[in-house]
Amino acid sequence: MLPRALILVALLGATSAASAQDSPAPGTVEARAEDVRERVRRVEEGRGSDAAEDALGHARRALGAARRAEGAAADRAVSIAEAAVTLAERLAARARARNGLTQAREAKEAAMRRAAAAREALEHALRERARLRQALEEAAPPEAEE
Amino acid sequence: MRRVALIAALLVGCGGGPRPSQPLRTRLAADESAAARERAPELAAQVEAALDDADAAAAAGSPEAADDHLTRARLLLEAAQAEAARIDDERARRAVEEEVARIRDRARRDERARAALEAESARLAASRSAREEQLAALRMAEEDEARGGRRARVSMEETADLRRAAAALRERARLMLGAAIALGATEEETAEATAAIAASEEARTDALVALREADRAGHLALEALGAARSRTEGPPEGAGRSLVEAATAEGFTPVALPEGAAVEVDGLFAGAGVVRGRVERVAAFVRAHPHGPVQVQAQVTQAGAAGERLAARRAEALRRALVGAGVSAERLTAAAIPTALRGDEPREVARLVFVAY
Repeated sequence: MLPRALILVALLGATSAASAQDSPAPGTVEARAEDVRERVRRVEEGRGSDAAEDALGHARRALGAARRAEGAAADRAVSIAEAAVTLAERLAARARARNGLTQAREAKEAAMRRAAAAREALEHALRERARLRQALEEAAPPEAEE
Repeated sequence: MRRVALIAALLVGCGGGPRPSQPLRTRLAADESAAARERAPELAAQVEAALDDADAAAAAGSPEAADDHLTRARLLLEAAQAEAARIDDERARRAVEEEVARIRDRARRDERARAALEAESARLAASRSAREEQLAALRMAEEDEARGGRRARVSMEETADLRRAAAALRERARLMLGAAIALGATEEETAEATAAIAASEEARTDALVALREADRAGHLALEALGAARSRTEGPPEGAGRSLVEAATAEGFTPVALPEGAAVEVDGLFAGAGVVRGRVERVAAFVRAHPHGPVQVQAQVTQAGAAGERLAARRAEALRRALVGAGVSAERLTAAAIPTALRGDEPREVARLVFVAY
């Protein structure tokens, strides 16, 4: 019984050790490159990615350069990739904000048309009420003569 | 480490050589980047750090590394500018949305005011219609009061007019009495008005007396109706207004009558019967106004006794159809609109008088 439990614990330990070896240590060039790839993927999948296409391409090229380079050159290439993906993120966010602004302006146009129609209808209703009041006064019975 | 590189770069700078970061530093300090510096200070700081790294690399004799740092600085500067533009767009969007909210509020206020005005106009139109219907008869009664002792000068034509006016006032008094009885008025309360109607009918030879008695009968019937209403649990406050609005919305014509609020409906009859499809809408309208009795009336363009019989048959057919469509039979009575109240331009129309409203 005991040996089976020990084997299980040992297997679990080996699995977690293997997982740790698969993911690069934080702060290394490999870890930073992986982080950049993940950010690139998120921008590609999010709204506004069209506006960030050039910056995303720049980030991908820099990641390729980092893979081919070594030492300080690889570090600089990853830094460029980080800056490029930062630019891609901000450009996509800006595109979303611009789209929101456009929609808000369209909503304003629609609201102004509705307001103009409502005001026109109100003025018409005011004129109609005045006309009816006058007609009612004209139709009122004359004052009784003493 | 970066500080050492910076000091080295400064030393090189002091030596007189141009710094590779200078164009980007100028761009960062320029007005075009003022918004980026203000709204994205973290990114601006990263730009400056990258430019320092570029200068340090150049000072250390590594132009390739300096180029890489400059590329990074340029990308970060563009990111800062994009971030500033995004913040500007977000602010503008919020401002536009606030303005849209104000515009929509104003439109809603105008729409509510228009609806109130239209409801008031419908009431005014109904009042006008009822007033015009009675005006001719009342004016004759008042002229009779003013005429006093000049009876001898009443012409034959005037006499005929007076008789028509007396007949109209008698029929109106009868309708009001009917409404009062439907609301539970006692025989004692209606006796005096009934007697005045009889007196008006008996005064056939004297049109002025007939008119005066008919007018008196109208006042007495109205008093009896008021007394009956005061004892009845009527509709809630504002229900009369909502009845007028609902009638207008349904395409019916609201009419204010002394015996109650009424709605007139066109196109409800075919021959002596009713059009079933439209009855459902009328029945729903009656069920939606559940207080008190409802007088179902009909009017036709055909003159004379035959016309009045047809109108009575139609009113009864409509009453039965309404009962069949779910309206309580206890609420409904049926009658023709009397010939004397048809006016100069009679129409093929059904009228429902809600006497409690």
